[in-house]
Amino acid sequence: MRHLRLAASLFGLLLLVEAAPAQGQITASLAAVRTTLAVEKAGCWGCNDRLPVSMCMGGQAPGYWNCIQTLFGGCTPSSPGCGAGALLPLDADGATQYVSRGQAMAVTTGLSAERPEYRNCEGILVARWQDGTQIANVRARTATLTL
Amino acid sequence: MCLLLHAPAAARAQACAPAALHLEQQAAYPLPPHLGIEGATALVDGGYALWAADGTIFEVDPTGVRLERHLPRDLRPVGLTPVPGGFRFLDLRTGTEYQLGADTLPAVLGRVPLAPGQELDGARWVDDGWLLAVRDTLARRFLLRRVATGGAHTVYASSVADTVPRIPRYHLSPAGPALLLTHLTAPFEVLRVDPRTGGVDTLATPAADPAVRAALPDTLAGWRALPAVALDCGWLLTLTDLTSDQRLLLRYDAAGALARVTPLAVPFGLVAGRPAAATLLAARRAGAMELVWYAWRWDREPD
Repeated sequence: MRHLRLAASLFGLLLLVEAAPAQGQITASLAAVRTTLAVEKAGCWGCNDRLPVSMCMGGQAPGYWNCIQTLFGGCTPSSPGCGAGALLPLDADGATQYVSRGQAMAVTTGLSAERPEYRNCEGILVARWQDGTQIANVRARTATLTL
Repeated sequence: MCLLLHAPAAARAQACAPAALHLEQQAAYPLPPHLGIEGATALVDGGYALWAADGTIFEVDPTGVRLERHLPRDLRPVGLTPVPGGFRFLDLRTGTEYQLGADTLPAVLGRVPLAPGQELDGARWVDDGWLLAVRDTLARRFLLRRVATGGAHTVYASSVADTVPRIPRYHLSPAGPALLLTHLTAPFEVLRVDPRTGGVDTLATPAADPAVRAALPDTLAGWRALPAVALDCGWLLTLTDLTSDQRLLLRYDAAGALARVTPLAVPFGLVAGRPAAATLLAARRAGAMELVWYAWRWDREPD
């Protein structure tokens, strides 16, 4: 009985965490995401609600929203992301901001000459490794420009 | 000499018709790892304040990063402006306005009004007030809202989108006293808004231009626009393919005509500009993300 009460309390806590509105607003699409259990799919990010604490994890689908891990709030969807075909926030070099948003997930670890890039499930280049020649090429081609 | 950007368009068009814009790198340095740039604003001393997706604010000048501040984990700037001794910024998630001093924690100044379902996409400080890029997920429209001491009102509203994900999103970037709105997705149209009068005109619709279409693939699902960067005579736009290093650098003249399309197969984008100083700030991926400072000059066609 005591275990049942504990389980019920934990479930209630999870519901509270999950019911907390992201960014202060709730949208229909966001609500739909939050009620969907994440399943693994290469490259997507999402809130994994199967764990005792909701976690922002890579390798999750549907991944319609990127997520942010907060210390006490669990997983919070952030921007529209992989799967939405939508509007990834851009970095100034034209890449997406997965890396900075998801640095806790260490998305860039493991990149090397053998595995030089990381793409999400839509084929979007999320993180990359460049060798010396590529780096020199980027610098040489952008040292002067005529537009 | 070109006329300033806020001169009447017809006069500008007649007065400045340069043949080419030359950019020459003046300085370059890497940013700290994992730092994504969400926005930039020019500082009066020639530097820029940048804010990052992880809540970092930093000041840069041609010599390097001269200041780096890390906000508490739950705060993320959506817009920022310098104030004496620090910054004033808006939090993306709550619309709360904070002041950040040189050695202090963020102090709450207030909160911009957001109706249920409204989400902040961007903010610029113009004429003692905020101009907010807002996605209204209930009305399924993009709104440009002005919030100042006198109250809040809508400067511009898009048409109603079919679905929430199709609500247009726009970058906000300065252009003299006006503001440029750049649609992130195709057709990448650029609007100019006069915050004082609320006047809005469409400067260009790049993807509808045959010269741009010829340089783009059939499907533009993976292409995005970076914020338009104003020059003293026209403006620049970076189109980027999220699945590759393909970039298109577009230059428009003061009359809004496409002057040049420059394909570039390099992870590169224009960030911001300072027309009066003839300088530009750009970013490129060369191992780490690097900031690149350019000086620019015009090549005139011979008379």
